[in-house]
Amino acid sequence: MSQVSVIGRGITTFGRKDDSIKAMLVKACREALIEAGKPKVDAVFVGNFGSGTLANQEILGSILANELGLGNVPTVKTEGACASGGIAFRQAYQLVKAGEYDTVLVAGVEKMTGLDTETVTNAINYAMDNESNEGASGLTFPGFFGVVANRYMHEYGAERKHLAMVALKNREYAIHNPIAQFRKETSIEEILNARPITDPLGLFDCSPITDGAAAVVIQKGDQGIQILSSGQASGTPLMQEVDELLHIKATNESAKRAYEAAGLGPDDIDVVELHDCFTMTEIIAIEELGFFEKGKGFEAVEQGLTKHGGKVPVNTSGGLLSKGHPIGATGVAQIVQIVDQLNGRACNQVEYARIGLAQNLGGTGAYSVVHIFSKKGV
Amino acid sequence: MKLPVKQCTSCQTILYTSKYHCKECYSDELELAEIEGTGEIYSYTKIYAAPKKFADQAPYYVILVHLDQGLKITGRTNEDSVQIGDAVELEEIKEGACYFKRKRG
Repeated sequence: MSQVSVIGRGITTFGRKDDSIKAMLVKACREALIEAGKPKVDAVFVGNFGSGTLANQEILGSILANELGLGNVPTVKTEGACASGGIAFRQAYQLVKAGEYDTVLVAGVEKMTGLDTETVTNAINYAMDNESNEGASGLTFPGFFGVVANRYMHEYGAERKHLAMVALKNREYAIHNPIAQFRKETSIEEILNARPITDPLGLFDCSPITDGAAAVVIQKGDQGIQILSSGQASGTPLMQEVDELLHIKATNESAKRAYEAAGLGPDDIDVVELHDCFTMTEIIAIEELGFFEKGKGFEAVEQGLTKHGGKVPVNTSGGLLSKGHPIGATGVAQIVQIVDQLNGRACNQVEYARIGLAQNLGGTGAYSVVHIFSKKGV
Repeated sequence: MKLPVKQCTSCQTILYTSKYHCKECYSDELELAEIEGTGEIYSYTKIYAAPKKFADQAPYYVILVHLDQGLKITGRTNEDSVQIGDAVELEEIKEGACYFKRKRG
């Protein structure tokens, strides 16, 4: 099996944008391809959740190959809700590792603004299993994590302020990220007093509606940031069928597979981008990824262990909460931040970062993908 | 009231009514059955930002009930307040959603 490296990366600004889905895709991919030295591309993988519903556009792979002038190379779009981008990256990585392709372009994109919020909420709810009494009960996507949060607080003694600390940390990181959607200072008080979305989660506990695209070029060999391993797992998409509500098994299992394949463990990781679609999700994820014991994640946040100077800085990009969450782009954007960290040129640079981990979740635990990367020569 | 469920005719496993297949034994011969609609609230949320279809009902409670007979079920309650551990019973099923009320006495 070959070594595989990330040799170029590109990203648009995140937020409410006038650009079309095509314009954003082309912009991010151009940047990545130019940085990679305009290599001959053998295939294209695009992660996207709902371009048909949200942007009246499908066949993103073919459009991209045509716009970029890549010739008649094979192209694919992958869908796995919010994990669409991470899954696209994994497919590309596996095929390069297996020797099928030498160089692959991976992009992720979502166009979410320009529609009314209810239509977007409905589209996001397609990421749940709607053919059950659960859909009929009016449970929403954020609602699932509200139910998780109330139980977590009940079992472990966490409070809303701990959720707010996650939102504040990620906002403080986003302030220094030029592409982030939210770069305005905030405070625990403002976060706690924001309008409720789904009790106990308020506006700042939830990732926003965002437009954006991100891209990376991966290639056989060790000439860039090395991809050490990839792990993926699925979980139940229905709340009532989850065995243990306070565990997201897909996150845990995907991490276990990635750690094993890389021969590494949580203590080896210097910097992490993980899927903070809600503040609660970040606390669960730091536990499932093995950085902290079950039920102790909220204390770790309170003690500052998930930022610079702590155990491991988490979401130095600002995370989904403040960098923004263009669904299909998110998994690739996380990888862009880890690659920047390992290249020593990230916003909120972590000193001596050698090994980085990216975790991308889809649905309410329906999919999870974990990738582990290392700096060249580590 | 009792909760409608499906039951596998070959291994007797109790399943949600939305199922087509028994995960335990791979049979697709499932028949309608009923279990007790009593249980305990495991957790809940109060939804303020609701999808279009439910917007006129917001804010509303969605609860996760652990039924006494083992199944877990997502439902609704119109009680004024909700606590984890509250004993509840199924009151009605409306447009596919299970509504629970606090068990009295």
